[in-house]
Amino acid sequence: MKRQQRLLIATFTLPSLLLYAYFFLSPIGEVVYYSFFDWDAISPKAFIALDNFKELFADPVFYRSLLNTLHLLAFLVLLMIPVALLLAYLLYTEVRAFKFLRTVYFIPVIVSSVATALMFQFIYENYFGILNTLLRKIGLGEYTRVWLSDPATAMSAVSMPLVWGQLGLMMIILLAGLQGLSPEVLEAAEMDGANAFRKLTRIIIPMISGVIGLCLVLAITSAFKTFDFILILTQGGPLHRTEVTGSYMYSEGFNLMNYGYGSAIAVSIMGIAVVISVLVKQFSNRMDR
Amino acid sequence: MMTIRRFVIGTCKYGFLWLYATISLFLFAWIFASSFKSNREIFRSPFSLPENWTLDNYVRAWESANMSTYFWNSIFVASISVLFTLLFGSMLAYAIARFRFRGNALLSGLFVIGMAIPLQSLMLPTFLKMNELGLRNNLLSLILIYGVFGLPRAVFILVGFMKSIPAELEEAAIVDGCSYWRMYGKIIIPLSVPGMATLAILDFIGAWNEYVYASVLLATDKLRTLPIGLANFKGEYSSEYGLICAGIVITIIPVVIIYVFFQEQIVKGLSSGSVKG
Repeated sequence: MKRQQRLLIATFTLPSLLLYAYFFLSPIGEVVYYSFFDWDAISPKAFIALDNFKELFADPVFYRSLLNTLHLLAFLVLLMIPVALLLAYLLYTEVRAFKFLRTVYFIPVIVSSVATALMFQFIYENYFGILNTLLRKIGLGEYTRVWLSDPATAMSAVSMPLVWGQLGLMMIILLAGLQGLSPEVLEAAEMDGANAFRKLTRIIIPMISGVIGLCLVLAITSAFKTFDFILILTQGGPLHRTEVTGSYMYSEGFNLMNYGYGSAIAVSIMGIAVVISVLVKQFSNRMDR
Repeated sequence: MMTIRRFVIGTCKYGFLWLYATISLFLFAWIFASSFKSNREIFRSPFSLPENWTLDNYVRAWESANMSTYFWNSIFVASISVLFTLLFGSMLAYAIARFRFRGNALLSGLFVIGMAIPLQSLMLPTFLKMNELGLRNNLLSLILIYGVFGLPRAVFILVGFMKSIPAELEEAAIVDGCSYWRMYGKIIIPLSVPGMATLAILDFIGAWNEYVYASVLLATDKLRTLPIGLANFKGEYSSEYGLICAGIVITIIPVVIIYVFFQEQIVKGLSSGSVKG
């Protein structure tokens, strides 16, 4: 290779590589490193090896937060993906006002999570909130409640903004998958007299199973990394009722200054996310074959 | 018989499509209408249109609640971090896509890994690092973070894009004695504009909306970006509902405008980017 070319490659890659290594790769190492210490930012770091993890695996709040993360995930998988699939399928079968509908479904995706959280706050508000007012108007007044602090509904109530905010993204991904199908197959199915429901369950869903798998992955990763809604709506309360892994890391690290313990939580979140990504890569490679 | 069936199917289809659309639109409309109401009016008749469409809440949000400062901070942070990602990302992608050198695969692998790491799990070390660098409570810290965190996706999209540019153009340019820098500036960048535009739009929206990093890195009121400022309304103006609604509308409008103008790029960028990733 010519010397001039080598110099050129260095000037094109080194600045970004160095910045990336310093601000992205090294924090990955640092978060693992900090997780071996007991450290509150004031007193000096004390090396405690795996004690943070031992404590973590015996910590009922951590299990509570994992369970709540699964609750969130259940909403995404059992509610968001099916609705998104149905909407995508209906949009795919030529409809009037296609662009308008797609816009309405998609806008929540690009709305900031803070704005979304505050909008849902107005849905759940006790006295004049949309949900309670509607219930009173249709004569179901006895079902009104303080949705965000009632232990029975709090976790579901904080899950809904995420469902609403991501549904549009799932919808356009599934729609792109559908638009990639060859029309001949569907025409053949129509000739055989398959009805719409059979067509959807027997032909379309199997054919876009790769894309549905991708939506599952996105749902899993976003369940493990999203917590801004929760910070704004409940801060994990009441009594950790809505604590998820991310919000637990945030409150241990930034509110209680337990940097070591917070890092241990972060490491486990990262571990789960990476394991899932690897599993999915394998899965999608098998699908491609 | 056939027509009845078609009618029923059509009704179900449009019924479902419009049901979901109506719920979403209703929520936006409720917030929009409430942003013109006083607290008393919201309490008394939460579902009615405002009695008179005064801009009081907007004026107060923009001026006394400092939304204007937050707004320009957000514009500043989002634009500079997008330029950062585009410049460094395109240089990297050019080297990876166009030159064979030892470590090429390793280099692109390092950036692809970045797409699998949940960024939120790096908050603690990033916070400590910015503290050490003295960049805490400085908008530069957000610009650096958003800019660097955008690189994996930039490399992913732009390498694919640049690889599809035919090599003949560059070969001809070399024969003409054109330098690699000129080639990058005069051939590669202009031909990559569609990919860069998609990237710029997605990254801008991402930076505009980012909350958790900004919430731990910024402390002073006059440095806040919109999401932090808005989240703080909940504490400072917790019972001024009309004002909060106005704040929500101010935050949402710019991204809706961006969407209206660039919807094809956004939809394509997000669906193909994630389908392949």
